Amino acid sequence: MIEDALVIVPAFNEAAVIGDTLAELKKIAGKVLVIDDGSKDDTGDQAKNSGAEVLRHSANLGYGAALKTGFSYGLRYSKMSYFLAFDADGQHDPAFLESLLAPLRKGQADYVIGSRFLEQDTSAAPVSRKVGSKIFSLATSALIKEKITDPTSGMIALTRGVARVFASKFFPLDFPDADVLIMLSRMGFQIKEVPVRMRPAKRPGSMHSGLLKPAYYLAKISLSMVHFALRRDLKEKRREIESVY
Amino acid sequence: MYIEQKVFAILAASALIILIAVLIRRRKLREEYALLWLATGIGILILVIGYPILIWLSKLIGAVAPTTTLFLFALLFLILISIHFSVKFTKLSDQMQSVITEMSFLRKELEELKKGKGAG
Repeated sequence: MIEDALVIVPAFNEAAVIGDTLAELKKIAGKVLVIDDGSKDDTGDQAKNSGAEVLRHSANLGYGAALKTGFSYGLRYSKMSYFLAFDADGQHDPAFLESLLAPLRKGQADYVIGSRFLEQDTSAAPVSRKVGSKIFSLATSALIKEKITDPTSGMIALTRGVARVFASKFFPLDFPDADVLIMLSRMGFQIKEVPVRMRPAKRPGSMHSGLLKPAYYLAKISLSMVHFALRRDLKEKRREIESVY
Repeated sequence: MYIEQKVFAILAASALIILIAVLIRRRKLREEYALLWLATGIGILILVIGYPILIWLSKLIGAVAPTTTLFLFALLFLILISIHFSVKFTKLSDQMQSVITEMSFLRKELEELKKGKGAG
């Protein structure tokens, strides 16, 4: 049982699946926090009935904002040493959470990514998404001079130090992604990947579905990556954040 | 510059300034957001009334006709105003996120307090 990490589950209109996800998760994780990001259905109530702690956004702010709320809450109200991000749609397998935490506990990393591509491709994503992910992984690896195979993975584990940065204005409110890795690397945090297996989502659709959303996503992440890659003051910003939070 | 063009530009700029003044007076527009709009109106008035300034400015930027200078500056002001609003929207998004996050914390605390009171 994981007792030293808070598992943060951002959820938006996931009432149909969140009960199953949490039932599976609660077998492994001691403390689970669901951020109901302004759902129109009863996601929040379902999560509460499943034994999770629930924070409710009064409006839909986006995946990144929901995570940010989770990190802010964890920093303020819990003494947990680590944080885990876990998707509500059933894609993530809780069996891999311990392996995500292991490098943090050993002090080998500050930020751990669960990679679908590190050992073998276990992703059920469409080819277009895989190509996009590959391009981002090559660009990220080149920029941070470290091999990253899955920069778009939402299955992550991090220390309180990284959570402080994520609770600040440096964390994107919509899609935290490869840009965040560049920011963390430039701030001096250690990043590591561990292999995980992912399953198909239990409900259709994704936050990157449609035509306009992926185009916006690509443009936004690319701009954000360039922004962080060009900045030279991020170590200083890290010190500022650590002195405030 | 034809007299009709001058009259129209003066009327349009005056109408803009009056509209902004009325909106401020009725508290429908805060002074901090009105500054760029007022600057636009006053700028057009100065350029039209002080015609030699407009001629000098047109020569300086290489514009053939003074009216082109007026349109160019109006366009530049609009771009500035759009950027100004984008900056404000970013700030408002951050503030809104912060408020909604704090509200979610308070809501949870309230639920826990009610639950504790109910149990007690």
